[in-house]
Amino acid sequence: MTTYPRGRRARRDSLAAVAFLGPDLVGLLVFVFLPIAFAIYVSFFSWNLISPMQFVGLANYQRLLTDSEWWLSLGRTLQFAVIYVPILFVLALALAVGFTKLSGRVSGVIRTAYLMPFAVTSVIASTLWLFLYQQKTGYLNAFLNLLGIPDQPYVGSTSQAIASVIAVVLWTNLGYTSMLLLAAIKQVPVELIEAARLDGANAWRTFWSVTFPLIRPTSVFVIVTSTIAAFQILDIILVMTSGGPADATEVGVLYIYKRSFERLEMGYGSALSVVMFVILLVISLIQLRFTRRSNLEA
Amino acid sequence: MEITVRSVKSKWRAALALAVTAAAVVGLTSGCSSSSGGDSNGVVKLQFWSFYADGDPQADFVNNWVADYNKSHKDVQIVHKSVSQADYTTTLIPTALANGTAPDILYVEPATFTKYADSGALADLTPYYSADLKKDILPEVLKSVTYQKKLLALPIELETLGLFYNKDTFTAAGLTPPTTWAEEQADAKKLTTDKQYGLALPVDDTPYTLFNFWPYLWMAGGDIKKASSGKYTIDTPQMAKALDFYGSFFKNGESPNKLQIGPYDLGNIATGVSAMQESGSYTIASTETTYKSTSIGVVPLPSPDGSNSITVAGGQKLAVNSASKHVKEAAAFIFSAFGSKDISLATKWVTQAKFAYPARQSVIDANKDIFTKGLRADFTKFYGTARPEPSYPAAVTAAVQTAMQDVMFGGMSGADAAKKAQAAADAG
Repeated sequence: MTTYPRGRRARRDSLAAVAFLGPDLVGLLVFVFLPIAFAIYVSFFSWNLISPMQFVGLANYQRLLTDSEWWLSLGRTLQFAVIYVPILFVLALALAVGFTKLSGRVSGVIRTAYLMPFAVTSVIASTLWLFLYQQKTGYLNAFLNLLGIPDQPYVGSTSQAIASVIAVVLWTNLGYTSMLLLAAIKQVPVELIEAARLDGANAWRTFWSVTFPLIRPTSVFVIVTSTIAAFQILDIILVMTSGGPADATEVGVLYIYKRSFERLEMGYGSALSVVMFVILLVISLIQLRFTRRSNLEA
Repeated sequence: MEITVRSVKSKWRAALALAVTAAAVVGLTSGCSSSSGGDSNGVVKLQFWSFYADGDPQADFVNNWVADYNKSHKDVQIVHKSVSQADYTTTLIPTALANGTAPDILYVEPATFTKYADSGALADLTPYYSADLKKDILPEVLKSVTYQKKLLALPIELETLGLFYNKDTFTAAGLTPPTTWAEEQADAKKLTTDKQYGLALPVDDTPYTLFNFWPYLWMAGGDIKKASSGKYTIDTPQMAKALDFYGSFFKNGESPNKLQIGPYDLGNIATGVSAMQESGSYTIASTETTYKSTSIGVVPLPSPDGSNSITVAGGQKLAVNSASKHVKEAAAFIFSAFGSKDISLATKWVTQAKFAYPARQSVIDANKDIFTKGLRADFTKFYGTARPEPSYPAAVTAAVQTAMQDVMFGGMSGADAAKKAQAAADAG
């Protein structure tokens, strides 16, 4: 049985809650929930931002059903996520485990070095990597040439472009993601690790059977948020490839951006955004259900 | 778990406080949008947005123009703001038009002119054009600002394209700059090495890449025209021929698939990325400053058989927001510099603030000496071959841009790409 504090204390607690949550909730309302509601509203209209809106009912939704360019762009988004998320997770986890083996100043310096790309803006990251990716005179190809590998086109090729962009996004987010997992690993009670070791488990067995299950909430958080981020990638692609070459990197959000701002079809763009929102919601719910079930099993 | 009545009440109080805060903030933020053309004390205030970066001679010109105008006009004050160029042409102006905060005076260019004109966002400036002015503006240029028989913008400059090349590289290879398409392809092939490409062309799926393509379509004898059915003719043999030509440099590995230095920036020649580069009259200044240690020359864009080279003329235009409460005053401001009998400012814009060609014959005639200096002389020689950059609906330009991507990187033939583009443009 829990009793809540009474009287003045109760009021103070409520006020404290409002004071701490209020500003962020207001921000969420004004900059997230209201725009989402407005986008859903606009999706039933035809609107070029300049002339008045015209009600078209479900026409935008009917149109996107047969818009092959949209479904192809969604396919590329999925391709991006399916490649990016597992690689990010595995590499970040490996990095986090590596950091647990380091200590002292060396550890701090290395962790900072890995974290620094996260502080670089996407425009600068893109510009930097475009120079590295230069086909005839870039550092990457110069290095590959030393190993006897011929020049690679990277973002200049329809087959390599998406992988090249994924590499940049990985470089940006690896350090930060590994910090999240490192924090979770450090939360695992040392006694459990020691107990496993005393029972004869080696390092790998200990990690897999003790540490990994216990960091599941953070792991799921990382997977869900990086999936959402993968679906929302726009700025790096805009700067590096503008969706090219030949639409090889035209992902869903870029297609929505082009329809909305270059073609001034805000109604259609809003309908596409709603569909994207629903898809992301479903994926996130599936991923969250996965963690709930395994928590119950644990 | 016991929930007491008092704690339920305090929960409701918290929710109420939240709702009040939310309403207050929403009320405050919605009241914060500024209206364009606000007046005070009978003084007309006009909002003018440009996009020239601080420190650029163009930015200085605009700032001085505004300051001088404000000094000499006590009843009209221009409030000038400089914003990012990338945002200007994509999201900034359309969203500003949507929420009623767009400036009274704005720049438009071929890529945005039809978009805004279709939506009725541009004020009719026909009444402000004098008969003399109409005669002074080059006919093709006047056509490019006409929409349904109305003049919706004031042209201020023309920037044409040419083929720049590294003189030393050509001399060392024993080559002369190309005049025909076959020569251009042969030169590009010969000059492509391990470390350098033969020719740098724009590659991204953007309006600038399309801008660079128009001359090839026209020189192939083609054009995109609106048929009586309302559809635009894209799928023609001439379009296929031009697409095949542009795409050939990429298919043969003679053009870089990605330009890290911008496609308009002659740094591609100066830093040895390529031996030739298609770029515009706006880069002449850089050959005399940043890249003066490289010997760069320019020739007209090669044509299929070497005769009748055609180039494209792009450039900004000034327009007035149709929703402005003071169209007359806004028009007076822009015409004072670029549409009046006094051509001093119009001259200054194209000779000092930047190098470009003026839209008016009188400015050319009065400044012949400037237009024959250095590389300008070469551009002036083929200036008469320029056609204004066309302004098509977004569905058409997007379709042709995609066709270019298809021939450059998608392995498609010009004919297939043109057919695909026709279907895409027809679908809208």
